[in-house]
Amino acid sequence: MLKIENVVSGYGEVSVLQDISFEVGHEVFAILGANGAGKTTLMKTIAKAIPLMSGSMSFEGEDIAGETSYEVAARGIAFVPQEHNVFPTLTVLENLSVGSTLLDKARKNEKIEEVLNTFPALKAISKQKAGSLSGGEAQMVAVGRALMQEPKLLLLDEPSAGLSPLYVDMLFSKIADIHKEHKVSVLVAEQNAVKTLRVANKALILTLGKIHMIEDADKLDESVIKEGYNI
Amino acid sequence: MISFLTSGFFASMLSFLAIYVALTVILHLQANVAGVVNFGIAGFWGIGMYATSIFLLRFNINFWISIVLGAIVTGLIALPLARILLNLDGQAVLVGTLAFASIVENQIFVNREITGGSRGLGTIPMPIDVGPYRFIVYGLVVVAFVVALILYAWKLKKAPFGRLLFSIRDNELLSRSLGKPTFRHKIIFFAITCGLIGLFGGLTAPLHSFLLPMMVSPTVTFTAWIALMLGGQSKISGAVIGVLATEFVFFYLLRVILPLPAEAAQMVPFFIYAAYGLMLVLVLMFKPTGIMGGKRRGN
Repeated sequence: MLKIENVVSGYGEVSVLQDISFEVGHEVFAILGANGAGKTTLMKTIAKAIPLMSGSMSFEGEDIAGETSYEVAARGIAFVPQEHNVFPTLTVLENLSVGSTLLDKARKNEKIEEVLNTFPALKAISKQKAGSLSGGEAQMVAVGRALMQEPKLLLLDEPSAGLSPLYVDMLFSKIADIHKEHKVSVLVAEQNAVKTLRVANKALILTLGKIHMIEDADKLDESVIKEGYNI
Repeated sequence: MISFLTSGFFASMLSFLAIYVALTVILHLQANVAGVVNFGIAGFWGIGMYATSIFLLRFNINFWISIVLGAIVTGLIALPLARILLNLDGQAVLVGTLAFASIVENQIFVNREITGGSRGLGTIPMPIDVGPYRFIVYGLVVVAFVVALILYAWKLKKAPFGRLLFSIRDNELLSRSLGKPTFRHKIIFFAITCGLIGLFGGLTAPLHSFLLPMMVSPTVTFTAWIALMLGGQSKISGAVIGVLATEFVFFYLLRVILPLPAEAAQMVPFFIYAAYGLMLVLVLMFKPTGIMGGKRRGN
């Protein structure tokens, strides 16, 4: 589905990611790594929020290296950034609605129902401004808005950052549901390796902008992860 | 009463207040919905006013067609300006649009063959000929245009395109990842709304009947901004109330209540702008969201 080859990327003249190559199929694929490993840079590169310095990227066999963020979104790649991931002055319902700009009206209404069923807690706060929500609620809105795009691939950048343990458990169980029920592939960047590996099929460990290893999730044990995290 | 309602004073008051309400509502759309800080309103308004008059007087084109052409010219000039400016931050947009309005004023002075320069351009006849009632009928036509604009603004804020504009204003990077070319939408919206400013500039031309470059002064921009900030940026009603609290109270109501001798009347505008400044400071101190209140969409 998504193929990344020899990608170099970063900010301005500074390259953060070096020679990154991997492939994501119909699965939950985890990007793991310590702080500063380059997880967010990798997610932003795929979502085209920052430009590619070199290398190639393709999605469903089509080259997307030269495309803009809205072009890759229109292809079916939805991005949920770690921070500033909701529109604070829009209500929860408006946030969901604005995610469906590419859908027709009938489909949009169906999709809102679907997302509210996936996150029932949003029903009670649907008219509340997203800027006034707690971290966990905002994260649900952000993921819900991404689902409104009817994505084929969902990019989640550190979805558990700053959430209470209760929300973290709920969120990871939702990630598994989204993959199974909505038939969406998920690429999730996380520091929380233990929780992520419970729902992931495959994992990539990033160390200082380079791939430390790519392995099936069930084959990764604690010692390998610690080595990748430089602990 | 009927004689007052059909008087030139009332017709002029109604028309100019309606024009200022229109400019302030458009400003509300640009600033509060799309997040574009336009300090060049006078420039776009002036282009519309002069373009309409030039089509009318130099090419003998019907007035109603001329105002549409004037609006199109204004929108087309706004398009490349938006392409350059809207990629920059808010302060650069503010300075850029203000500079643009100064350039427009200067060009009207300089290009005498086209605009008449400091000698002026006129006489622009009233487009509606119903004898002594032509001024009030024209005033009502202007009001009808403003009502249509308010309805458009109201519908836009509830429409998917309005929500998209709100999302662009809130977080353009995030909005871009929803699958729509946000920058293109912002440029087109800016050009269309500037075209609307030009349309109301065209509608102003017969009210002045004789155009001079000094009419395209930054005062128009500042008055609309002050009215919007006093009335409340986040609501359409704020734009209407803001114009009533400024232009209506100081330029019309007080003149009726407190008629001053001619020599004192000349000084009045200077005191009025000082009063606007004081009101603005007080509102920002005690009710930053403006008279009509509401939470600022930007916060």
